[in-house]
Amino acid sequence: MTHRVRLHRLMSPLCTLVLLPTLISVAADDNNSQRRVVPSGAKVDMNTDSILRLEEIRPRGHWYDAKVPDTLDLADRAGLAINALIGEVNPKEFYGIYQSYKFNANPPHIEGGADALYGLVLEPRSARTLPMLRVMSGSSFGLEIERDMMKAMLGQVQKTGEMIYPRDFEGPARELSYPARMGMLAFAAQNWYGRDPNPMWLDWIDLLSDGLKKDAIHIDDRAYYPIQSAIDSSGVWHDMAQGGTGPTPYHTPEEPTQDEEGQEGTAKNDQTRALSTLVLDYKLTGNKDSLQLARELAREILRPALWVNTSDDGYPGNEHAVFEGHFHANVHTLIGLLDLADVDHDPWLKEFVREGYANAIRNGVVQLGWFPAWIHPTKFGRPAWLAESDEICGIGDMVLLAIRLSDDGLGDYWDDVDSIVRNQLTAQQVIDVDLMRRASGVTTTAYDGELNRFRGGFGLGGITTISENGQIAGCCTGNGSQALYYAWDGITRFDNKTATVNLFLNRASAWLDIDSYLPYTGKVVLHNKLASTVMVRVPDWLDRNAISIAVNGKVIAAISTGRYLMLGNLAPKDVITLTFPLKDSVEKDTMAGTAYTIRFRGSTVVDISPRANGPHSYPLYLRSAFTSGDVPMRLKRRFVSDRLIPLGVY
Amino acid sequence: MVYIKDLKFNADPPAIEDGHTASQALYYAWEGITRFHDGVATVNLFLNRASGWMDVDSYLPHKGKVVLHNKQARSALVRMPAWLGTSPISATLNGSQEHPPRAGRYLAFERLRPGDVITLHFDVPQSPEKYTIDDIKYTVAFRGSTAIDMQPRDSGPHGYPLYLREPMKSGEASMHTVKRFAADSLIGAQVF
Repeated sequence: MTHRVRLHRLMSPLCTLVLLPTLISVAADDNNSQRRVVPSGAKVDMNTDSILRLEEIRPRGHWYDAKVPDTLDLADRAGLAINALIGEVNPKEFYGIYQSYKFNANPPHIEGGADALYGLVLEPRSARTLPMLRVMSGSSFGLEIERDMMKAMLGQVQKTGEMIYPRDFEGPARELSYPARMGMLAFAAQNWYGRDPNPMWLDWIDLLSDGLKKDAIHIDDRAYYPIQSAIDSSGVWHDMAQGGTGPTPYHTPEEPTQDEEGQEGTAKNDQTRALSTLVLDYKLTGNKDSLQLARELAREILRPALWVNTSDDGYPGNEHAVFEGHFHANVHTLIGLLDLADVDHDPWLKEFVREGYANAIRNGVVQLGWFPAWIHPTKFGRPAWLAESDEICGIGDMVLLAIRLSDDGLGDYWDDVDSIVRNQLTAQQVIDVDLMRRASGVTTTAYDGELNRFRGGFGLGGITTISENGQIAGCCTGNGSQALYYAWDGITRFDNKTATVNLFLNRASAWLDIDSYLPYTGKVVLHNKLASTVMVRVPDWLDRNAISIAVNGKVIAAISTGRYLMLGNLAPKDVITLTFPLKDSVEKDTMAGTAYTIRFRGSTVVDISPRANGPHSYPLYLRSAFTSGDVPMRLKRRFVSDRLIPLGVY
Repeated sequence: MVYIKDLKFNADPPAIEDGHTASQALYYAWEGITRFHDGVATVNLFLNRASGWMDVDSYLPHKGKVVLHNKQARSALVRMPAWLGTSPISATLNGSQEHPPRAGRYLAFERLRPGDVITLHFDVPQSPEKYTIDDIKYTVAFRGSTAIDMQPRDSGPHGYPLYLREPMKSGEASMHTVKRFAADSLIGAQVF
């Protein structure tokens, strides 16, 4: 019970729903229960063997050895994340994911008792992310588990498109359908389709969209799904998380009156996964009914009641994306709205999302990549510590949104991406077993096997440590590692013999390899393969006039165009070397009421103070080696995938 | 918002300072329309501009057409505005279809010669949008990024009306002959 209470206290306000034993059943009233015609799922082959063949999902590409600087390599981080995403699976319990691993407790343990699997809402998230990580790293670790996890989930999908919790599942959602979970499974199907373009995946996405149409509640010109609620076969909604008993009560299936209602406090976000799935279905299959429902959900999300009331300032918060409360849920909502804005070519909605991004930025410190788990938590009856903790789910969302906005031409946020990835995102990926053991307080190696099982997971943490309150979180591991892929994809792109380099991070690709010596020294080497022209984005901390460029050892004059350097007339095997002075700087930022001093080398944080020193803390930013200037080199086996998974809906 | 009330051009004396600031912004925007360095022209804005390296003819907001008259550039990078989204852009070089590579938000044209003419065609979306400013709800009609109408309008007796842009709703831009000027040297961006 202690564990259950702690899980509730620590996790409920942050990640996704917690399934608590009390079941509240409320029938949808007449006004809310009008259903759309349910399209048939007959075209879907429910036998999944043909789309789950191991040979089709195994990473395909080529390997080669290269001597490279031993600096941040997101492909390596992807391999570590796969380790954790596989390690946290329980194949004996519907392939559910453990939400909380307390590596920093004595003894280390999986937290949560009967709620440990977090209501089976996390495994679609892991299934979504694993294909991306395999493209990055080439790793086949746990491929059978990944396949079997997907098979288990697809086996829960009915011909109606609803995804029904197993009869044997010991939780309040047993035999119910939870729309957000269906949406997340559709995202997984999207990425599996990106990995293996078998058109049967499109049928699955269309089928899941049918299920979402069946369950939506329509009011006027909008539609919604009750918060953290699941529906049974007779159309009765069930509250899965005691939403009526928290500090901001919610009574299913009523339309929410504020964003922070219910246990998780994420009314808008309970619509978002469905919205993005429906947009995805429209994009991939042309299903106009899906697009229509996505628009209705967006109208629900954009209701004034679900945004900060700024009427005293002469404008409404719901026209400018002014939010507070659950950070991850709000930023995730912005990503969903951008999905719709893109297909609708809606400039108003795009601008709205950009303003939301600006609002998110001003609530954190983007140079550190830190953003609070909640904005003004006590205003909504949540504990104050949520304003000084961060959640990698939200930090990962910021990476996704920054890249999506940049790709849409709504800004140039590559420096934000660089800062977040180099700092808080990867700092909170728990990869150091010695530090894990130290944080646990265990003095022997007796638990090293278990620590290694979860190694590579992402922690729910703080500003300078993953504290005693934190842990490796299943949700954060699924979302944080997805952000790794978005950043990795954005490092370099290629179109018609023109390569673009947006980030000075290591990357192997079919057209160009990048060796980054940052932050040890100001040096980046590009090994050309296919490009005739390379556009290199200059980070904002660097004076473009201070960059020296050599092609095959011969210094050339840089052509500067905006933030980019343009290099033309290149041939395969050309080696382009950029050298530049690396600037050290000290900044002072106040976070959650505490003034911090942060030391940077370029955009990389190399130290931060004051540090928290709790007894079970996993310290961040122990990076004194970065300032030595001596770049360690290593022999790396690089992987280049035959296929990339397109960036798309969340 | 439709009438300038605080800028007392119609009073004695006129407010000089505001006018000074606005005209400096004109220069900054004009300067940013296109830039040139080491044979590479960058086109950041779809606005008319004459320059020593390239002239830009913009048919916006009447129609989605921009013509670049090259003078000196070996390469041109043309930024696609956000409002175009992922809508297709048709590009021709001297009348022949081109498929320029995309680098971020830029289209890249290479191996250009003096006298080359690049023509871009694209759709111009029209959208009425609603905003609340100082507690008043406005409906603004856009063609691309150009506001062509705005409601409600203030009909005060001494107002100078904005956005009387009915002719911009037509799909054809009227052509005229201008004597263009390209300065021998530009003034670098200054501290404001």
